[in-house]
Amino acid sequence: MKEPVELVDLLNRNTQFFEEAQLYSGLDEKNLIDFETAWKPAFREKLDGATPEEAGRMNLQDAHWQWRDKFAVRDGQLWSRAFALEADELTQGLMFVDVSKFARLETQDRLHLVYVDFLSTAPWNRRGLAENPKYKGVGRIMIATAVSLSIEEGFRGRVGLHALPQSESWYRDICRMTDLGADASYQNLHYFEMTEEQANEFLNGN
Amino acid sequence: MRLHISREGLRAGIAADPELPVEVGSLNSLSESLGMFVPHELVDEPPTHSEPVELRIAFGTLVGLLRRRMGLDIAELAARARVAEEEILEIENRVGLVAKPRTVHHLAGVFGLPAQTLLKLSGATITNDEKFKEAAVRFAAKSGDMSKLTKHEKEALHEYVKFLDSQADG
Repeated sequence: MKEPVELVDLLNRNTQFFEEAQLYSGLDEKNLIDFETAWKPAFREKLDGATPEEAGRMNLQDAHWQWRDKFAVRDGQLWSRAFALEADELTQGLMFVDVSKFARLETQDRLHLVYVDFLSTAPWNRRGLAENPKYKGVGRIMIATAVSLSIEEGFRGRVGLHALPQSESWYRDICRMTDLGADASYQNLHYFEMTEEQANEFLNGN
Repeated sequence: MRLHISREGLRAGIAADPELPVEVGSLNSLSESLGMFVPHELVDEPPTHSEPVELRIAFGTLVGLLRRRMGLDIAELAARARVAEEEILEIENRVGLVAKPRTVHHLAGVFGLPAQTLLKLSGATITNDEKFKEAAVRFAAKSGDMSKLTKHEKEALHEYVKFLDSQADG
């Protein structure tokens, strides 16, 4: 069930003013529709299209149902939480987390953490995709949300995630998470963890 | 639940943050969810066709020439790009190899080239842009002996890098 968490602010890069945004726990049909009718077309416009034959071979044609299936699998599960960030009447960011996983860092071995399964910001907010990207701040708000959930679950702020290649610098250098290196069991994506101490630093702006 | 950080604290962090991507998720799930094409090596079934080998030859040639232009050996480039030396060797020398998307991203950063464009050239993503393919083939054909960067190669490299930069939004 979708519930409001808190009002937060996103920076509008064009006006340089902060604008109010609503953070929600849980997703609803509006978020799914925003993803399918606003996000996906904006992504597709920026990418070279495959031929219909190639799309069929790569199973692109039923990606819509796959995404809904993923949400359906997670919805209502005790181990899963979803979060949405909305501003200007549109979904600006989405996050799925898993609260059933354990830390891998030696110093944190086998302690529970919040694992970020999926975090994405709307295409019009991204440099490289939008000529004048609109909102800044989705990533920081969502990671602060993951850390806050970790605290409330009794995990003391511990967070783990696999970063996409282009995002490694954000998690390593800005969030100051520990880079445990490429994970051969996860497409060689780099796995990052945030300890309790790192979580406190992140929340305190250090 | 509640956020364990003040609204002011979040604003301060956002204002100070550099412009960096933040996306998290497996390449498969993100790609499938977005309906994006998936790199060949991540598709369960092998593709019945593949990007022309010429594109990947051009990619390997480009990497080698740019590395030499920067005055780096393979170990130095590998260190800067944070990838294994073996990967750089394979990219430069093994015809038809499809480089890993992460490797291509990091090389793009080192060379100052648009990552999406390099992903197309490397074969990690698919392109239907015939002009792009033709330019790659012409570039590869102009680049000969890899042992030294001739004036001719420098000119060809310079022109091709300009072309790749111009493809950043495509």
